Amino acid sequence: MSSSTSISERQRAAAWLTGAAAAGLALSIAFEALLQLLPAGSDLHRENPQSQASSARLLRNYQYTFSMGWDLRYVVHGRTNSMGFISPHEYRSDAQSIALLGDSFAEGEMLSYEDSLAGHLDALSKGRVQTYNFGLSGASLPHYLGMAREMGPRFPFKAAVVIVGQGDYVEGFESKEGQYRWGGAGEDDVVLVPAETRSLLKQALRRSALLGYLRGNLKFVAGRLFQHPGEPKCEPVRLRDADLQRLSHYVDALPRALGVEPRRIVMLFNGNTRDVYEHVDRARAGAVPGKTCETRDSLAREQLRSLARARGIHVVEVLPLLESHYRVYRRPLDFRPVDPHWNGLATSIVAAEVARRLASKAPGYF
Amino acid sequence: MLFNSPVFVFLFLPVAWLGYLVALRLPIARSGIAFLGLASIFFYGWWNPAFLPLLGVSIVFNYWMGRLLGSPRAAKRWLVAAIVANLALIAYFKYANLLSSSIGAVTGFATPVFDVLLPIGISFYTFTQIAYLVDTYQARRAEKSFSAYVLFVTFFPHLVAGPVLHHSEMMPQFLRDQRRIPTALILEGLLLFACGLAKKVLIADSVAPGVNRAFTLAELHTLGWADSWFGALGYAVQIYFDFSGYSDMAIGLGLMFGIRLPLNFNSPYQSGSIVEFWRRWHMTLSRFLRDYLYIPLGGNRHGPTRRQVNLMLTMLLGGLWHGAAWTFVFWGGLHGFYLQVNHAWRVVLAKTPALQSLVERFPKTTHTLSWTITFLAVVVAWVVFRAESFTGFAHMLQGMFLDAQSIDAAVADPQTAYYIGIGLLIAFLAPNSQQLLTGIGERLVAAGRASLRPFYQGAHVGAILTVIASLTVISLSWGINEFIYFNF
Repeated sequence: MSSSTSISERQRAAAWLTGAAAAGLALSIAFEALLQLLPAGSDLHRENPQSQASSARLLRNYQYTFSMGWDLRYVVHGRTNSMGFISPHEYRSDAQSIALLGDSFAEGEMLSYEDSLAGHLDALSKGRVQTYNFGLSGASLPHYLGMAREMGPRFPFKAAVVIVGQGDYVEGFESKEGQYRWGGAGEDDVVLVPAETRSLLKQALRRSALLGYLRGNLKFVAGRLFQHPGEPKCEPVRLRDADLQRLSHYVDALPRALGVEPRRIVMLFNGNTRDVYEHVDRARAGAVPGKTCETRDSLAREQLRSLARARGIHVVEVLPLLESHYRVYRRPLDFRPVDPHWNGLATSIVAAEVARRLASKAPGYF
Repeated sequence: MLFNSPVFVFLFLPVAWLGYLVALRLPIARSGIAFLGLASIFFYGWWNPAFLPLLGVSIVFNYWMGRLLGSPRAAKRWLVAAIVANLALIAYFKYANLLSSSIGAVTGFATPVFDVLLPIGISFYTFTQIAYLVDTYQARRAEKSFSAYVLFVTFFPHLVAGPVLHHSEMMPQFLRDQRRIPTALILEGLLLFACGLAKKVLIADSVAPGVNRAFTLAELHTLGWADSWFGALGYAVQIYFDFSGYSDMAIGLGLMFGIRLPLNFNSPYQSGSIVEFWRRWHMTLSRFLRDYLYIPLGGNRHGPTRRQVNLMLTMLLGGLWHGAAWTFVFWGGLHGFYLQVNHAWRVVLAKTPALQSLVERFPKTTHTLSWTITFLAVVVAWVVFRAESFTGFAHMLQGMFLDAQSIDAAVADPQTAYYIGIGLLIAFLAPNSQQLLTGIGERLVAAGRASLRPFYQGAHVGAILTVIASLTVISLSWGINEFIYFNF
């Protein structure tokens, strides 16, 4: 009797678990089907590398859709060219061009081409020069140099714009597939980490709208699921000799790699747009400014600034530029709270400043 | 640990729930109570373990005072002393700086600034225990089981932001001999939790950034008409969906553990008068203020003038309860004023047959009118409740009613305005979560052929858990916003 009861209990439990799993699966399939119909996330991915020496490229000649947030706001459609960079234009070696290097702020996946930095620069030059966007999301300083070495010999650039963001120096030590990292002892100054070849399963999973939604719209990273929020520690740091040498070499190597004089390069030092709002909106009498904490990265970027200025490279501080506009017009400059990247207004402000700087040094283009 | 955080949803809750099920079956008396009490203390300590000793002292002191007051010969002065001690605790941790700065402002002397960190939930657990002491003194019967008392105070679904509980409605539930939790209650609890999480994540958090921006800018300058109304209506939506969402989650969690917590919201924005609004908004706090403040002050027993004074005093203190700022007191006073007007209107109506017949002739029109006036009055009061200062409040009001010239800050973005519209429509027209979900567990359990019921039950749970997991991931994408009432 007890044996039959226990079997029955076991059967009930099995039926219960089967029901739970079936419902979870059915709902997931329903979400997937729904999201396939909606402009969810980013379906734009890196392509498999052509060779071991290939740096990362997006899928070539690909029409993509991008949106942000759980509710799929700010939908944009864009395309990549035959080189695997976000641009409606093919890059030609016989055209007048400007190189644009940087991370996602340069890449501009979240903006229509007209609203991106490259698009605004194109518009400002009125067709006299075209901006070749080599931006890659997640890239850092060594990758910009690596890309400059790849593209410099192929295109006779008239000028160049490099966006330097927070974390760009220290992230350069990380090994990210398809990207250049800082070289260690006995290595070149920058070293390409081989791009990953996706298995068939991974390629199939990349077609899942649900996974794209999780990654793209919700910015879900499993590792951050149980992170305990805490104040970052502010410890005294200083740059080592190796850091100083690396940066000094960088400002010499970058113009050489691009084949562009330093005075025709604009280095945009970007920060967190949130600070613009904080400075202006919270700038009331008696408000105490937030504590800033110096890091190896912030010191390195500071060093890069002064070295670049010394070499004649234009240094543009993006936040004060945006702040002066925000102080007057109070218009949002990013997609906060769903995304901290520049919106079309911010890129237009930055592009105008770049054009102003280059107008005197590269006459006839702006 | 916030109810909308992954650590709560994916770790704490499953472990606490399964542990409780196991503890209920142990052959040790009150093992379930002990386990749940410990789990609740762990839950509270997760925020900041430094707050635990204060909670512990408060519990031990009040339990001990309760034993004293439960004796038939207990003197009233012990009750007064215990209440004063509780109020002193909350006064120091919550109001010391307000008091000090106010004295400084009035006298012109330099007054000290206390470096005090507000322990989370102190208002809720202190008031819950004051109510317990009063009840114990009146009934002359104290709680004997210390572990049950600890659970009554610390039960994690209500610990940090209510509902404010009555000892009498909770202890029988904690102390009954429960070996298992009915599936119907679990299903109902899960659904309520999911519903509350959806309110918080999809509506309140979607509206919050725009609202914050409007009120931040209002501290600096007057906003335009559209931006001001956007901020004011947005906050009305945010606070309702945030707090009623939290309350749904708390009640749902209680049900998952076989405990029914009292209702806290009953479609307050559908109220036709301010009196009705206070019967539907934060109902357990209203009940507390009525039972332990308004009635002891004399209620309506000493004539209309004294009643008005008692009412105003209750609302002013109710406002102060929310936070250490004069804006909260003003908010309470404003609602006190609204209530006086409401009562006066009732008197006028009762004494004016012509007016009465007019109301009876056009019931729909008069209801729409009174509902509109009530909602607008509530929205105006929310502005001072949310504003960081009276300057911000004045700037918002100027923008709302005087259409002042201002910087076009483009606060009123269409996306947020859309959520405000959806939120208002739900709040005005839809049945509330309790009306929708009460008893649904039993219906779901009984659904389908008997032989397939375990499968169906599992399917229901699996579907709800998938929704909860999805909402939690969405919450994570916002950066996990705190509940507004966690600050009180």
